[in-house]
Amino acid sequence: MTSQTDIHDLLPLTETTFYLLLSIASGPRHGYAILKDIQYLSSGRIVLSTGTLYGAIKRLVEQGWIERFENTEEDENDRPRKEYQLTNLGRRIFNADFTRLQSLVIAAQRRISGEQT
Amino acid sequence: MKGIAGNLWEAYKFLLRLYPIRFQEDYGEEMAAVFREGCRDSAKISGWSVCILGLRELRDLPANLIREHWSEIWRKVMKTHTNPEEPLSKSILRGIFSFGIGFTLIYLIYCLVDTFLNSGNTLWQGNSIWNRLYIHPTALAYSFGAAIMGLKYSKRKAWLSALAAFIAYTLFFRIWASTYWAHRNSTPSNLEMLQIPIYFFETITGILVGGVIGLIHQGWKKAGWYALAGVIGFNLGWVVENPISIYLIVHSPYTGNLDHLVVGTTWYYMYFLIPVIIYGGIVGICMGIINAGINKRLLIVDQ
Repeated sequence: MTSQTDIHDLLPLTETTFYLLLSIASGPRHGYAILKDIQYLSSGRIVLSTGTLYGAIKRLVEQGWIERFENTEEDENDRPRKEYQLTNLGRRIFNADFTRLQSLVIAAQRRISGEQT
Repeated sequence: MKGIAGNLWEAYKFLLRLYPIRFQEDYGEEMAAVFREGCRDSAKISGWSVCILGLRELRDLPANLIREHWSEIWRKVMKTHTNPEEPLSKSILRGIFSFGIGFTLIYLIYCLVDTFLNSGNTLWQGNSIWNRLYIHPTALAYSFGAAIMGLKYSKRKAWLSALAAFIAYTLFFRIWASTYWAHRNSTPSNLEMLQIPIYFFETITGILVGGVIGLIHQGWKKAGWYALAGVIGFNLGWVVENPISIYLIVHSPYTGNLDHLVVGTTWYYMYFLIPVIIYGGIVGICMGIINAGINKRLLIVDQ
């Protein structure tokens, strides 16, 4: 089992990884939905190619951060749609990086507001 | 789907064949479906959007292909490195692969470079690189072994442990070389087997190198076990390889004197490679045994 110390060894996450985990943090999504969501979440700044997206997905699946499952809902070719969701480990890593980023922002806000007053 | 979007999708399906087979089997169908959806959405906007989609894919393709093929090669090479529940025999094989191959490769490279630069010269009186070991091959071999073993955990741990092993060995070797090694008799004899300082050297480097590898791979609580493996492996390696190297040089045409060993000859390669291959293998066995033992303990704790 990965301890809290080990999780901090994995941080900081790359921007793409963070957005990918963020995209499925609220619930499972299929590949195209993740692609569009990352574009939306980054305000159009990060537009991944399909190859880059699936390279990242493959690595996260192998590391056990996300998992793939077949949704009973079928796609247009009448095949079960494959979706991705966070594992417990993935959620812990995402939360740890989220907390890290929050503390950065809080520190910056404190300093900026302190300098202004 | 027709028109540019349809053609582009067909081309994309063809390009997917360039990925490794396993990747295609796992994700190829999904990627084609996702790209198809992208083409369809882009076609609703304009033909230019479809072109941009295709260009983006093409732009990233070389890097993606290299990354996936590289990852596949590593997966095959490191097949035994991924299962923490692996049996003792596999863990030993992994150790031998890491350190045995490490020592073989690094020393072979040194021998080949020395042959290229000094072929035909005698060993100790010429400009042989063995007289100017600014970067000691053993330090590099330990780094190689640490890196390959460390890949089981993460790339970061692999690089860090390689660097730490290199620094630990090099620092101590520098101190050692300035004292004992500089005054070493170049004509070895069986009496050399009994020289206490060598065991002292192997023990200290075992603690340092094994310890830092364990510290980085599995944390300070497990570092002691790796240091123990280092002490046992390095000393045992020395006990086994040293008589072999002495035997080789004594029974060579150079009548037991390393001064006369000629760079690039068969005896030269035998003298430098056979003992270190055995030494690396023994170190690897010890590291593999300790690693398997620690993993077993970890699994018991997890349960």
